[in-house]
Amino acid sequence: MGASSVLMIFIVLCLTAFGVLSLVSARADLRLTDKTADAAQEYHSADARTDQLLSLIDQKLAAARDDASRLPAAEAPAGYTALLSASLSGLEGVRLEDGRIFLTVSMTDGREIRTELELLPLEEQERYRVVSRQLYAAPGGDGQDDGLNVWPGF
Amino acid sequence: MTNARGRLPLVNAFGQRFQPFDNKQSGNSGVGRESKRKLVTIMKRHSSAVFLMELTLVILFFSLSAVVTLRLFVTAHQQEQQSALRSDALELAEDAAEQFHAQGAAFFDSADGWSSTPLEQGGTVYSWDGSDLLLEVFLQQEDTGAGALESGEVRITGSEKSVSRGQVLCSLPVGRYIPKEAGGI
Repeated sequence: MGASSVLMIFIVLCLTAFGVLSLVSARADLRLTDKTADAAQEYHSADARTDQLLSLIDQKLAAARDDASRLPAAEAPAGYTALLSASLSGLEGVRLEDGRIFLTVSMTDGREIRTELELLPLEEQERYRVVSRQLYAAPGGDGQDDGLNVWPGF
Repeated sequence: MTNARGRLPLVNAFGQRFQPFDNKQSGNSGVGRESKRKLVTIMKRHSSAVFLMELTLVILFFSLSAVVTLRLFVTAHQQEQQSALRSDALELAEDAAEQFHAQGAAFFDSADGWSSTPLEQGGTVYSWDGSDLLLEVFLQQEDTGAGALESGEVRITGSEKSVSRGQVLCSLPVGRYIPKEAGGI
């Protein structure tokens, strides 16, 4: 009787331990899935905002081109740039530099989508060309990789 | 060597024969044969009761533990199912969002199982019914003058056949801008 009781208690304890382990593992899995879904939602939200910003910038480019086309041919390029600089200055996350436009859309978890546009000349039918569109982990954000210098190289 | 009643003589730990108590004798100590038999009977009854009580407690303890353990396993299984469903929904939603970003509304071809329904407030909803998941893409198109901005939402809900029927498992915003010169409106 004593040995069977001990065996019974041991089995029950093992089952309980396994049950608790299963529950903890399942909860961790669910939490990870939720975190992944939140991160994906953040990214796609920022991606959609980037496209909205792009449409806004394109409207201003079209308007600036229209205004610049009324200027004398010699002054048109400089006038175009000046008009653009004035109209884009009010947009948050947009910077005009050396004939290129840089867009930055930030996410709450420290990541950013950075887009670089190349302004095309007035003679071209298209107004801009997308040079790059990348996802960055901003300094100090959750996605920042502190890194570990494993091998310095030869 | 048995006695007249057919029983073995009683001996103590030192091998000395145990003399039974005689009521007629005076000054004798020890337990009489009758009293000894009564004591053994009482002890047997008590040990049965103790055994039964112990067995009852063990069974009760085992039942309680079994109930708790089963509940733990069932909850873990349910959470695993939910997690798997959400992962599948996320994968499907991200795929649809990326495909839309690349191809636009042309991706939602009826030949691939998509159905489209116009919305009252403008726009279109494209639906695709999987085995456990229902994929819906709500889209609205806006003419900005310089191009076309398509924006909307990809939503995954549990289908009628799944355990999460009607529940929104995943929702991703989508957007796509096409300049007029590149084929926008």
